[in-house]
Amino acid sequence: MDRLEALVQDTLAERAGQAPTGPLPLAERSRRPGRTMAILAGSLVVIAIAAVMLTLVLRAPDRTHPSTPASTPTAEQDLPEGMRTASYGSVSLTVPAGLATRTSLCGSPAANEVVVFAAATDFCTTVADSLAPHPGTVVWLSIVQQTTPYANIPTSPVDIDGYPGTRGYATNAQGLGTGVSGVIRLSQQNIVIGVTAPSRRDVDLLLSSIRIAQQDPLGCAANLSAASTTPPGPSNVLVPGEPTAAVRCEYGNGTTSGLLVGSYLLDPTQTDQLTTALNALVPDPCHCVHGGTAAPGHDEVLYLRYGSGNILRVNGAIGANLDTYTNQTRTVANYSSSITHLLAELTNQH
Amino acid sequence: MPHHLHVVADEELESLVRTHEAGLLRLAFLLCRDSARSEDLVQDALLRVLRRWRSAGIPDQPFAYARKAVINEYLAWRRLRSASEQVGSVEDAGESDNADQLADRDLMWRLLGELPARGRAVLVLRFYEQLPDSEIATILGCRPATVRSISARALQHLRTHPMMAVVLEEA
Repeated sequence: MDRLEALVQDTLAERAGQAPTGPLPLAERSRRPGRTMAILAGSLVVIAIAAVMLTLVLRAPDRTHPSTPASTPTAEQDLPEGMRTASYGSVSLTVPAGLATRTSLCGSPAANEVVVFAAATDFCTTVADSLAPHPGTVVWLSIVQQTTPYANIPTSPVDIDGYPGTRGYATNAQGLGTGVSGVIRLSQQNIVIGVTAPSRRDVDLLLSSIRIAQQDPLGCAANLSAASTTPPGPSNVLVPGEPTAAVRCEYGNGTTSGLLVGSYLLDPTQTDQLTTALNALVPDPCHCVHGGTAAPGHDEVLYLRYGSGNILRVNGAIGANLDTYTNQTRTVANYSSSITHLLAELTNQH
Repeated sequence: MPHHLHVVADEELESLVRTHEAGLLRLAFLLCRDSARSEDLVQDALLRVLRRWRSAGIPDQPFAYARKAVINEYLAWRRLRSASEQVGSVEDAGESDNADQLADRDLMWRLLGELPARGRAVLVLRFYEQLPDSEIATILGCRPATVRSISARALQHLRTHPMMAVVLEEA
């Protein structure tokens, strides 16, 4: 070993003495779940995603439908005592079991609950209000399109199950909630997840539990780009034949990078209604996008299953009346008013 | 996935954390040069390890597996790191028995921070973890010859730095 190598070795050995000594939050959670629960008591979790736009693409019958249910990223039996899974579509994380879950379009969350903002539009300003300081001990988590109060905090890169993003921290000194706030932003998916807790360790405990499932239990892929890879087929009919079942996979933010936010199984009767409605769509001779700007919103994939085992894949996006489908790529003007309305009825989303 | 796998994995990880937590944190700190970041790296790596063990069982060498996970976590973080982010602060090394030695090590620490991620990882694994090239190659997923090449380039970078050249010349 020459002088340089010896200096490398000495330097590393010396600097290793400055490393943190733990314990890590992981170890602490494993050893003392009761303490974690005490710290997280009186907490608040907020989840929000907004939607505007939907396009429809008919693909030919294919043989790659994700018909086998996949496990969610965090099975209940994996959880530490006193914790439970809070999930919205493909995103999940562990939260204190005592937190109730509430869904809302807009509004300010209160303490001791999980709030899912399944907003129909993405300009729900009160979502940002939910990030404002709360009295007492507060833990919150949100998946939102916009989190203005956290736009300028320093961040560093993270990777959540293959989805690149950033993580940043803010303190009460910055007027962003009590204690410490941690925010993970998946920019490409337009999703932000945040936690405020008394200490960074508590924040990291929840943030580190965030997972994105590659498939949900109904077989919906985590994001639209992953679900849209089958080649188009020869059919000139939107939905040929008589499919016997269907799965609706709903994605956020109107881009192919949007993450799965919901999935629904349709029975044979509901599938028949959907088939009829899809085939009744009137092609728009204009072949153009109608009205308004293309705001971010929901995309969705419909899988229609046939008795033969074939699967028809239909991609859709609503909001700007831009609907294209089949290998012929057609545009329709009434998708939002017909299919979206019907699907909302069939899946009890009113 | 069988529940007993979870129990075994949890117990094994807890045992590993008890025994090797400090060592993994030191390794992570030498790689990323930041206390909070090193905690994040190790924690994220161990969570991945736990999920893997729960689904696929415990490997023959749990610590080696966990160490590899930390290295991979570090390399993934470096790949994602924005260009504007600081490499890491040069923290005060504290008291030293020799001012010149202290200055030399400070310089070396700074230069190590300038190395590419894999170059730094190879030097840390070789000179701190004292691992043979074959084991480093396994961790990094490359051939031992590649490890030697990376190491040589990294050392050459250090050796040819003007300030380090002065230090080596004085020695």
